Amino acid sequence: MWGLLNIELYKIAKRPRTYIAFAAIAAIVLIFQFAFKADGQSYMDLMLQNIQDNFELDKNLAINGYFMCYLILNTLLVQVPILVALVAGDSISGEANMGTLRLILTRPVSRSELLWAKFMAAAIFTIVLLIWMAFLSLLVSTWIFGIDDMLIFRVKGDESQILQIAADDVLWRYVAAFAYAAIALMVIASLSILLSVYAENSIGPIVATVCIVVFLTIVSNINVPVIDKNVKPWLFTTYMVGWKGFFYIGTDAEGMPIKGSVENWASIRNSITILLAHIVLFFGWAQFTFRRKDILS
Amino acid sequence: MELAIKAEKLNKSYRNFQAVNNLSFTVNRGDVYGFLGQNGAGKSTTIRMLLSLISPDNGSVAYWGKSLHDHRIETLSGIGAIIEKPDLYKYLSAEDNLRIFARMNGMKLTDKEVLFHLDRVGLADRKKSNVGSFSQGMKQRLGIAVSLVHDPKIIILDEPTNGLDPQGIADMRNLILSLNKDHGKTIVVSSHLLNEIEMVANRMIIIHKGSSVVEGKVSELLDPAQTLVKLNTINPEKTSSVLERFTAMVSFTFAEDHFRLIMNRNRVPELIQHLVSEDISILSVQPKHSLEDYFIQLTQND
Repeated sequence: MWGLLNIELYKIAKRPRTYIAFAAIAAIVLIFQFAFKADGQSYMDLMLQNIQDNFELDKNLAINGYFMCYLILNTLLVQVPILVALVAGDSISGEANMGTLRLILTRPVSRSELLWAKFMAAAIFTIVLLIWMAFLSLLVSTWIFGIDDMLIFRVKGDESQILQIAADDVLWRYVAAFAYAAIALMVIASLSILLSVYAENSIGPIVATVCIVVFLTIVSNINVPVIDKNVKPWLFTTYMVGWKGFFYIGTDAEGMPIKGSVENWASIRNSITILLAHIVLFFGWAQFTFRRKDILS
Repeated sequence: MELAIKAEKLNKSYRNFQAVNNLSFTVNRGDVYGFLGQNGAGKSTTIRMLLSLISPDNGSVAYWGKSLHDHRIETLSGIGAIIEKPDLYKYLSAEDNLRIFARMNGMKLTDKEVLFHLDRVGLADRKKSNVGSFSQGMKQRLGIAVSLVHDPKIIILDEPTNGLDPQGIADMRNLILSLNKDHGKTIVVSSHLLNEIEMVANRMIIIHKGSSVVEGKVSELLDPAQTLVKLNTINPEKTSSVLERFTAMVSFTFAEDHFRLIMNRNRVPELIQHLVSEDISILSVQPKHSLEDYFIQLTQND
């Protein structure tokens, strides 16, 4: 198992396409940082236009490293599934396409162990990608923009809110948010691997994963009561942005933020449970199929 | 003679297409066993079943008396195989490919061992080159090195000369003979070319439309005095038990409601006499051409 995992990681590291993901993230983050360094005020004016009459805000302090990281994650975590699908979707179908799958399976290798190794390799790739994202969006942003209290702009129901989190209460939230994002992206990886088991070419599962994620994300954002109640709770895409829950700080009776708290732990726990259930479902299904699959490639 | 491989009543169909139909054969230790058939005859499907890449609908495969289904990992550790063309990781070097596949067999190669295996197929000076830059012949040779890296007892080669130039074909033939004679390997090799099988194999099977046409020693099957006889009787079971008693005279298979016998043309009347004396009602006896002519005819008909 560990031998197979080493092999899979080595192959991922040697493929040029792996580095597209890292380059894409670096490019997007650096563009964000450059744009905000050059003209962050305009963005803040635009965002605060509805509420600036009610709040007195020092916009220079609002744009800091923590705020930038939140903004980048908010934009980027929607795109990262594509990058994860690029590697995970290729895991079995890419081998079938190259003709190496049949060579591997004539070796004394268990099919379920091979799939586990591919899943673990995709998980490690995802985590490394998130660490890279964290390095660029958090560390580099705090270096460029400095550290201060973090402001979150949130629309809840009909009202807009600004949540303030003390600077020394932010870092653990990012650690938790990245861990949550890793679980959410593992759902994408397991879905890609499942589709990859059925395909004989690399592009099919990658495109299919992206299409499914886009479609379900649209469904997750449709505001119709019958869908809200019966469909959305079961879609993994509903929970993909659940990492934000760590930044919705709990408040006391007077509306003052409580340090170290989050507004709704139960919701976060529920989201994680459903995401994990999807991983088990998709990967279990992939295992069941792959163990019985005739290798015709 | 120790049995290396025993395939029994293998069947495989895809929707309405019967790719392999009730196919049985045995490979003895030390054989170079030829698997002959036209393209689409069912050779690759059968070879994939021998390697557990495809599950038979029914039937079984055993190596050294142990079921492949029940002892898959243990069995595959003693087999080296190339299925059709040896597709390797094009973005990795020859050395990387060799190390990766050795690792799958639980081996960590030293630099000296890498050099030994690549040198054996004439690729030692290209060990750092990406496989993507290799010619078909070089890939084939690297594929051979990969399939031999764990010193398997049995080597299965599916159409190993496909895409090779004449020199490559000759090299492959010499390698097969050397692996068999000098290293004692049991080899199964498939081809759609009779002369290729004739030059390397000591035993062979011809399959057509997924069924066995004939199985036996190459020297006997391709003897010009031997002929193929199509025999149709009222009671195939009894016929089969009688034919079993004359295995020195005749080798036979049963498919599509009739027997196919390979035997000396001059002894056909003698065999018929035996069958009649055993009260077997013969519906028809059709001596065909020599096996070579028969195979050419099969190839031309489709």
